[in-house]
Amino acid sequence: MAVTDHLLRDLAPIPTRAWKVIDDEARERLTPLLAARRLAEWVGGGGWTRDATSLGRTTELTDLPPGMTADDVRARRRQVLPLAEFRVPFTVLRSEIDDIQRGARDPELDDLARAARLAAEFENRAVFHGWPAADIVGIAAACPYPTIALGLDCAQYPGIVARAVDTLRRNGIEGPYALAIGPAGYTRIVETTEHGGYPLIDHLTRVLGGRLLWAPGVDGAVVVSERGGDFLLDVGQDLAIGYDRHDADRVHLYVEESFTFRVVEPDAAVALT
Amino acid sequence: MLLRRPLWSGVARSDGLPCPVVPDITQLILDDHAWFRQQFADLDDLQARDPLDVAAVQRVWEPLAARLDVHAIAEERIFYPQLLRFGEDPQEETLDAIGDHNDIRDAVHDAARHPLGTEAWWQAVGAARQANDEHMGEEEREGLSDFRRHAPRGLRDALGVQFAEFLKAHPSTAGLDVSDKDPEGYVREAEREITSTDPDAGSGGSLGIGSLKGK
Repeated sequence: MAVTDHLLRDLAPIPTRAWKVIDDEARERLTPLLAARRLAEWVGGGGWTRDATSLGRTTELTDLPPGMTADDVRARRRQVLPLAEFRVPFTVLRSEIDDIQRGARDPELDDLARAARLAAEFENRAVFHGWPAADIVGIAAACPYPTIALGLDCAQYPGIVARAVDTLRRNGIEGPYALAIGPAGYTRIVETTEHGGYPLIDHLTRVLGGRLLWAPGVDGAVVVSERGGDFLLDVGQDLAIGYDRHDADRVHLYVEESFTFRVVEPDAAVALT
Repeated sequence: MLLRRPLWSGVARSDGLPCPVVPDITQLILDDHAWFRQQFADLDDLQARDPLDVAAVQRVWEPLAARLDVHAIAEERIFYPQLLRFGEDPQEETLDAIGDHNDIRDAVHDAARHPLGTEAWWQAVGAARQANDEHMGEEEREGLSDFRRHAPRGLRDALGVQFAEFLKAHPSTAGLDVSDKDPEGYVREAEREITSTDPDAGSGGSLGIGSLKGK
């Protein structure tokens, strides 16, 4: 059997129809959760074999090849940011695969849903809060302004968000602005109406001139400019499903991605805790 | 026939960022449509001149005729197989499109059988324009709209790269099969491919989610 790529999908005991159902389910589960992709510029490409992104900068090399002296030669090394990769394993029951082949419309793919949530949260966390081991500095960590406390009192949110927007404006960062906020905070906002019955979410949207983003994996919230070009998400292998192994009962698969992220303009965000 | 149309050379972003290199496939197809309309309008202007400047007509028509053929083949190889995979009502849209492509091809090839600038030639060119106008309108309302609403953004971008590469690799119809295709046979074959090959073919092994910026 020909193995087409590193995902080894050809080796899985999964017929074409079931693969399509698994892929469709993964796509449907992942897409609403990928908040970072809604804010960052996408500079992806190159697939699994791509290793790094150029930073366009160099560092001076003072140690030269033996026999050479700094009087003769100036040497520099290019700076690159390596792509990091992650896999989230999950399993699918072989009996479910059989049922999909029979035409079942309600396959049990709970473990895939769990893996999709984890994968999306992983990408969001890396983008918003960083991933030091992978040399990724997140948006919140890069932000140079004093952190503003968001708290749990929704009545204060319009004022707090307005101050964050004002900070960005005063520093020459144009809008529109977006508020990326974790699920708990987002729920508090959509549940709240102000005096006179005006929905808080509408009030915040007017303050921002942009939108509120439901962002799993974000602790607190971040107000960011959506003018573009400030945050670069560099994806090599976009989210994909690969095959690991199988036994009599289950097929072991994984969700995979390789990426890195960098903040081009740290001034373009304000972190709220 | 040689194409003289400058190939698309990339989006110049005001912020100088390296992305995206090529627009998504639906935008590239729209760009070609706009170019087709402009070329036919230019032929109107030339037809109004007395005496007819045959060389000028030839300079417009030859690249236009070639591009109509190459564009149809590029859509058949790259766009419609993916529309059949991701579209909401792709079979009907694809059957219509392949039938339209045949009408356009027939008229373009009919024009080649007549001396350029003659009444019979203008009639054939008019038939090509009519078939192409109907096709473009239908495709913009149906296939392209369907694909934008249902295909993953990353796939659209990846197909844009393929589409641009195909056009660049085929500046003329040389080496391409420009004969008519049986619409039903085309759809059957494409659907057979979909069910017999890796379901994520065409999206580089990924789920094709790609950028969600602004969504």
